[in-house]
Parts: sequence; structure tokens; C-alpha cells
Amino acid sequence: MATNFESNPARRYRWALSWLPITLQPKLLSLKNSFLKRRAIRLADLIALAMTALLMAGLYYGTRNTLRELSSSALSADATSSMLYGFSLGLFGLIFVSAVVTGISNLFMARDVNLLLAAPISHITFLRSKALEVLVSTTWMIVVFSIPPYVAFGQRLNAGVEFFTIAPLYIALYLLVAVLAGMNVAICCAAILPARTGRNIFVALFVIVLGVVIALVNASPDHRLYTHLLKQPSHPVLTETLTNPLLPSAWLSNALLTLSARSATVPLLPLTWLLLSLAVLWSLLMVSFKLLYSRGYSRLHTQPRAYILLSRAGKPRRRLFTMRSAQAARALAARELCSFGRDLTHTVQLAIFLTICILYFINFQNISAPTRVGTWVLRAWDLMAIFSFIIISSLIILSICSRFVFPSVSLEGSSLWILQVAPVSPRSIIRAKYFTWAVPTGIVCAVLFASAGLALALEPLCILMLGLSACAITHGFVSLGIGMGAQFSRFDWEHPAELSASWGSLAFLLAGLATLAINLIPLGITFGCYVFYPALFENTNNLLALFSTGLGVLLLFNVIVGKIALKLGVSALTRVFAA
Amino acid sequence: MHPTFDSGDWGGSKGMIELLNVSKSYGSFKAVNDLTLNVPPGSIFAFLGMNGAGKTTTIKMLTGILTPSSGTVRLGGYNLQTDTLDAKRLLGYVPDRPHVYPKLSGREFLYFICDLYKVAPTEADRRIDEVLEEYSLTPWQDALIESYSHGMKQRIALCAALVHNPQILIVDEPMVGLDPHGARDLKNAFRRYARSGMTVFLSTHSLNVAEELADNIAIIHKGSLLTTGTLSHIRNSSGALADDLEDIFLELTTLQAEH
Repeated sequence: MATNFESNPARRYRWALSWLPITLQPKLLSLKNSFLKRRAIRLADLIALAMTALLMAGLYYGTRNTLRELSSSALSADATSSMLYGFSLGLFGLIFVSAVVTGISNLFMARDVNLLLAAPISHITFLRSKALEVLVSTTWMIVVFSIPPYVAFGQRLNAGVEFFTIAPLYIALYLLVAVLAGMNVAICCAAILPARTGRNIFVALFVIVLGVVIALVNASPDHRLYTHLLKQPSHPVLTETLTNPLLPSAWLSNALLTLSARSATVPLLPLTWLLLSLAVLWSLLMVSFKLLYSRGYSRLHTQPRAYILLSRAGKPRRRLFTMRSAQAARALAARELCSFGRDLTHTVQLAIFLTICILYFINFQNISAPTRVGTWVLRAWDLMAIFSFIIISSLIILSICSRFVFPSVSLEGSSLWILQVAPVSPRSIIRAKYFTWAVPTGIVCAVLFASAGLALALEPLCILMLGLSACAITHGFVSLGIGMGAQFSRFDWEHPAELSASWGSLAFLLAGLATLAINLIPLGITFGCYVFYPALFENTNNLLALFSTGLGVLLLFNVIVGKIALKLGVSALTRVFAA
Repeated sequence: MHPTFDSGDWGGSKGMIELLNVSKSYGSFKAVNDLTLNVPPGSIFAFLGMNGAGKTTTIKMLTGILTPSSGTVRLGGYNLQTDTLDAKRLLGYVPDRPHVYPKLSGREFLYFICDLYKVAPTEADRRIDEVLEEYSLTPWQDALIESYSHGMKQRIALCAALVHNPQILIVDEPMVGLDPHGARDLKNAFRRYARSGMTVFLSTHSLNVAEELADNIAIIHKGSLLTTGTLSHIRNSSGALADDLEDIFLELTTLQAEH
């Protein structure tokens, strides 16, 4: 046997991987072969690794210190458990959203789907291996960054060894519940939502978002939402929602809290709920696969009619949209937007992001300020509210960039040759991609920032400042997305969603977070001065000077980031073309 | 080199491949309309049609990738909808754009296929050596597929379709990417497979390939079957004035378009 293995390495790996579901074996072998082929580690990988370690350490110390501060303050006695409930719910949301998108991509659009569907493997084998693939690709990045906060929670709760040994089992089951729920929704989405009606869905969702915002702003008698909310603190409602026993996040949190209590009992009720949900979701997945998969496959692989954007009726609109651009750039942008609009995974992702925006606006209701405190504390609260909105909006934009902007170079895939042979320089391609994404992302970002300003009843000049800051931050994020997307480009992907779950995507997210952190410095100084020294800035000229300086620094930083990122992107694409 | 097939052991129905009133609709668009075909075992069957005629949709229904909107598909007597796995086990399929994992070596890829089709390990080793040898890929068996030329990728896809000894071979555009030597070898291989009892179903644009190889021919146009049978049968029954298949095909499809 050993001699046989030595003369036949393929057979050795086959034997070593025989415990895995059959359809996963080529993926692992591919990983192994890519790793062996590459041999050298790039500088960019090392930087990303160092940043990952740094962020993990930051998350650990940040969570630990926040929990310590919150628990010691009189404001909230059970802050640790409340945060654990919230953290678990957030984790579920992230995995679920990611599983929907990756599920569509993996189940219907992966390149190996036809090979597997034609092979004599049962539906169960197909689904089991696809579920495992979706689980790994959707959770690895989130799991890596969830470990430090969970360890911090364990330490804060004085948990024993049973917390750190048994909790991973509960967390694994919990993640699987989120993934199976996401895959069920993915099959339904593919069968029910044809990509060509995606545009109508966007319009409907935008109308809903606008409606929610207007309703929220008008909910206050004096049209000052923030003031209105100050009168109705809703913290108890939020806590009740988080601990609702019907939520899987409550099962996990209860299990973790029981495990941390060193009571030497395994929390059986949460385990039963988790296992029961898994059984129900798996059965549902089998049923939905049986009933809807074929329909979804047919819909995704056949689009007899094009979108209006490319049809004859849509021509004038398309020209109007890009008439100032050069011809090649216009062609690239139009192609990019058409491909984007017809991709169901993109449709679903956009719908999810819009839902997040709606939740974001609805969650204005959950702001509650302390009532019997001094002026300085209230001002600090105001600054924190502004900052929270800026950070959350920026994170939404960063997520949008990681899902849509970062993969845009790699999505050229097997069609890359068209660009390689065309008389278009890598610089023009990168620039065209930048402009295609900067405009819509900038609009979304400006709307989010300005809405926050409106809801917080800020002065018009502050709202303008927020809107312009949004444009500057968008420039940084989009340039970074395009540049790093080219730097970490992969054209041999199995399915498009794997690009957002790749190592390069993680590096982009880390770089984006670093950019955001630096952006917060000039924004913090500007709004800090404005909030803490209102008398100084009652004079419009002073306020203008303050905002212009802050905005200038912000712009300068983002222009530098953008220039470096796009330059890196151009050189990476030039290398790809030359290879 | 190639194993022989017992042409009698295919469930006792009329054809090795049977399509009975098969249709496939996408909304209001009918990609395949009431198609009935019967391919006898041990024969080469050429499935012809213009671009968008419904050839690939039919093949996807034959291989179980798409479910027909109506009608029945039988492979070796097994109903593809009810006896799915038994039917698929008989099948080897080479799509027009075959997916071969670029980061696997040729041998690793074939091992994977053997596992998918549950070929016994010792048998798998023997069969992999045989097909690699047959398609002249032995020297490159341990190189990654991404380093293969287009023709080599086409050949490794053929190896994957044949490695588990299928009784039915379905090939979509078989000659794409092959050099003249490769194309000649493949034609000879198809003849050899058919002689040993395998049913070969070719979907092609290349009318001379069909004319040269096929025992039976079917022509599909806009999802509907125009005609089927041997070349001489088609020539006689269609009333076409032309002699060679290319002219008959053009005459039939043009007439249909005018209707």
C-alpha cells in the first residue's frame, strides 16, 4: 500500500480525504494544490495576517473592557448578559444573510452544479455537501472574529473550563441553524424571484425605505425625531426583544450563560431547541429542494428577455446616464451595470442591504438618552449618537463595497480575455470600474449620512457636512475595493459568492476598517468642537471654517488612500494582463 | 481496450434512450415542444439543429440536470424521474463547455469521478490508466488541469465521461477544440464504442461528422422535431431534392422558417 501511495500521490490524497462527503473532496484537493503551487507568501498576505491578529486582539480587549465598564456602572447591572444576547442575535443575522446569498450562488450557479446533477448521487448527498460548503464559506470569517468576543464574555462571566469546551458545540449547531435557514430562503428566492423583476423589487424597497424614514421623522409632533425619542426611552422593549425565548439567539445565549455559571449541568433545553430546529430546517430544505430546485435552476439559467436597460426602449436612458464618459469607459460601465442587474445573488444582496437600511432607520426608536444628567454628559451623548450613525452607515457602505465593489474585477472571470485583447488600458478599466461603483455607492452613503443628520435634528450646515463626508468616505472605500479587488483577483472561481468570502475580501474589510478608523479622527474633532463648544460656533463663519477644515483633512486623506489603492489596482491588473 | 456492453440488458424497452412527448417551457417560451425520440442500443445518434433549436435543453433533460415540464425520459429502461440514480449510473456526459476543476490534476479529477459513480478502487485504478492511455494523457496525468490546452481539457472531460464504463455516452459538440488527429481518433473511438454496445448520442453543428458517423439522425428546429431516422430515410421521407445532409438540413430548416 505504502509503495503504491508513493508512486501515486493522487491515490494517497484520495485515501486521506475519503472521510469527507464526496463532492467536497475536489475543493480540498484544489486548496492543497493551490497552496503547494504558490509556495511563496505575498507581502499583502502577511500584512492582512498581521491586521487580522491585531483586530482579533482589539476585539478581545475592547469587549473585555467594555463589559467591565458597563458592569461596574450603575446604568446597567446585567449589561454582560444583554450584550451577549445582542451579540448572538447579530451573529445569527450576519450568517443568515450571508447564507442566503452564498446558497443561491453555490446551489444554482457554481460551475460544478451540472456535473453533480448529472452524476448518480442522491439529493441528500448533494444537499449535504452543498450545506457544508455554504457553512464553511459563510462562517469562517465571522467565526474568526467572533472567537475573541466570546472568550471575553467567558472571562467576564468567570466561566469555567466547561464553557470553553462545550460552548463550541452549541455555537456550531447555532451556525448550522442559521445556514440551513438561509439555504431554505435561497431556494425559495431562486424559484420565486426571477432576476429580471429585480429592478421592480429595488424600486419597491426604495419606496418602503423612504416611507419609513418620512413616517419616522413625522412621528414627532415637532418633527424632531431625536427630541421625541428622548421622551420615550425604549430600552426595556429592546431587552425584551433580545431575550424572546422564540429566538435561536436566546437559546444560544441561555446555554452560554448556564455553562458559565459553573453549575455542572449541560443546558439541555437550548440543545433540544437547536437540534429540533436543525431537524425541521433540514426537512424543509429537502422539501423545498424537491419542489422548487428545478424551477429555480430553470429560472436562473434562462432569461429569454433582457432588462430594459439593454433593450431598445432603454437605449436613450442608458446614453443619458453615461453620456459624459468616454466610449470605452461607457461600454464598460454599461456592461457592469447590466451584469449586476441580472445577477440574482446581487438582487438578493441588494434587497438585504436595503432591509438593513430599513432596520437601521427603525432602530432610531431604540435610542434613549439619560434624563437626569448634566449638560456635558448630554453633549457627550449627542456626540455619541452622531458618531454611532456615522460608524453604522460607514459599516453598511463597507459591507456593500465588500459584496459588490471588491469582487468586480474578479467577476470578469473567464471573460477576462475580452478586456485583455481590447485596446483598453488597465488604467481605463480600473477607472471605469471605479466610476461605475462610486456614483451609486456615494448616493446611498450620502442618503444614509444625511438621514442620520435629519433624524438627529442637526443644522442644515451639519447635514451638508455629513453628506460631503459621506462622498469622501465613499471615494476611499470604493477605490480601496477596486484596488484590492485587482490585487487579490481570482478569475477561476467556482461561484461568484465565494469571492466575498475569500481571504482577499477579509484583507479588504480590514483595510476598510482601518480607513474608517482614521476617517473618524477628523470627523470626531470637527463634531466634538461643534457639540462641546456651541457658543463658539453660533457664528456661521466660524462653523463654516470648522467644517471646511474638517472636510479638507477628510478629503485629503481619502484622496491619498484612493490614489494609492487605484494605482495598486492598475499595476495588479497590468501584471494579470502580462501573465 | 474498451469493455463490451450487453446490449440486451437495458430493461427490455424499445430504445436505450427514450424521450416520450417531452416538453420544456420557460414561462410562455417553449424551448422543447413534444419531443419523442428513440435511440437503439449500440448505435450512434446525431442530434442536429441550429443555434437555439433546443439541443442543449434536450441534453440537459436527458442527463437529469433539467426536469421536463411534461413527458417522460427513459435511459436503459429506467425512468429518469423515478429511478434517477439507476438511470444516471448508465450515463457518461460531456457538455459543450465541460467543467473540470482547474486546480486538480488529471488523475485526481478522474478519481473524483470514479468515487461519484462508485467504481471499486482497484477497478478505478485500472480504468483511469486505460482512459488516460487511450486519450494520450498519461504523461500529463499529474499536472494540474489549468495547465492543459483546450484540446487536452476536452480529452480529460471525455476520459471522465468514460471512466465508469457508461452504457450511454452523451456528447455535446464533440469536436470542439480537437486538432485533426484528435478529431479522427475520436470518430474512430465513437465507432468502436458503438460496436461494443455503447449508445452514443451526439449533439453537433458539424453536419459532416453526423453524416460520417451516425446510424440515426434527428433534426430539431425551434424546439420541435422536424425529422428522424437514417440518412436515406430522411432523404426519402422529407422529399428534399438535395443529396447530402448539409443541403437537406438547410432545405428543411429554411422550409420550416418560411412556414
